[in-house]
Amino acid sequence: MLANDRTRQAVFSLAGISSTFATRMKGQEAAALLIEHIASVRPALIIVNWEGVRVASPSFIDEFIANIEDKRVAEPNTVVFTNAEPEIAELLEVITRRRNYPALIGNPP
Amino acid sequence: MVARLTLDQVIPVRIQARQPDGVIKQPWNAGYMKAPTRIVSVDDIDFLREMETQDEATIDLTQVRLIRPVGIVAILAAIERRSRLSTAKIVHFLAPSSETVKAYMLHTGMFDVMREFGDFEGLQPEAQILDMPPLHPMVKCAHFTTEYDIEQLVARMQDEFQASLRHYATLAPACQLFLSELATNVVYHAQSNGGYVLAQLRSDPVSRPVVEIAVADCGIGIRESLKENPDHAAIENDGQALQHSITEGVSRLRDPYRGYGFHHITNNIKEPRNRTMTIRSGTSALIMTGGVISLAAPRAIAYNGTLVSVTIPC
Repeated sequence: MLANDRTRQAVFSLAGISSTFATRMKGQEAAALLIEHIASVRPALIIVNWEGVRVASPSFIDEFIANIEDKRVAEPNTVVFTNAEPEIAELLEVITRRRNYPALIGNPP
Repeated sequence: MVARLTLDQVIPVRIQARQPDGVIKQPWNAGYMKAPTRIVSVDDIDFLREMETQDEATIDLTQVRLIRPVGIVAILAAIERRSRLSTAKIVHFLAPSSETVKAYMLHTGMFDVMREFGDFEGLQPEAQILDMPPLHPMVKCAHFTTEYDIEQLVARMQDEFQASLRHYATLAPACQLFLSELATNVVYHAQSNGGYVLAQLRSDPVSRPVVEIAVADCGIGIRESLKENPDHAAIENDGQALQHSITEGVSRLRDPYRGYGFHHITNNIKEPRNRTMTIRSGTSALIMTGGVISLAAPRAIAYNGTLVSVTIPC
């Protein structure tokens, strides 16, 4: 689920949990796992990899972001959401903008 | 995992099947609800009105010739609502006389859900499935009470799209959005013992396939739910509440980041424009076809809870 290297970059792969995320409950669980794993690493860059995620509801995404925002995961770190399916990437855009959450959204070149 | 009703909520649900001589036994009690021949929209469920007032009640579906998911989940929600009344005792259930309709209802899993309510007599499901209608249940009829249940339902739908519905895979994101957000609304806001869902793909030789998703609960309804938020306490009627409910940022909760579930749904109804969503709560119904929203004339009979039906032509 998580890989680290010497640049203190953490990759958190949601597909390691499930391929479908429908509810706020799952959003809380996923955020808790992310926070738990980076707690000891303190990475400068957190990459949340959405590859393999087939379903991510607006409720899940909102709760996931709300929880990592609440724990100030992005301060002073940078969070990148990557490899999301087009429909999910669109929801990520809408919800991060609504919450004014400073995440970068995109795929690797 | 579907939660069972606790003992004090259980009521016997008896199927009073057709008798050997072909005559349907007439019920003796006053709470007699005779269904129309077609139960295909939120307007066709008013026959369930007697459910709350009688010690014993009968749901008579003998004349039903056509029933859609919206009718199936509405009946289940109505039975559950009755099960929560202290005076409730028995619901007699007269199965459709049409073998095709009965086979359809069996195929949807409706009777399996009804077994949760209590005793269930008079029908042998295995013997009845003879002439299966042209449909594919994407999510069989289910009772959900928790977010965990919803996760399972959405995963089940995803499995169907990957296994037998690959041809319609482009519809998967929208279908899963509708299912997850509508069911989540029930768990968070309805103040009921969960809700009921049925999703199916219907196809026949003369028309293009259509996905139908229906979700029902027997909770407090949209008007009462929104009024818990002081910002919406002035809502005057069910129609106004329904219009508010699809507005961005409107929620029972006074949280600036809540109230987007229906908004995401309506965005997916607007495009493509051939999709339709109907919401019935209380005496009003809101119909959204593509980007056009209309409010039906108030009904004389209130639906106690919320009933949502979405159709997506393939």
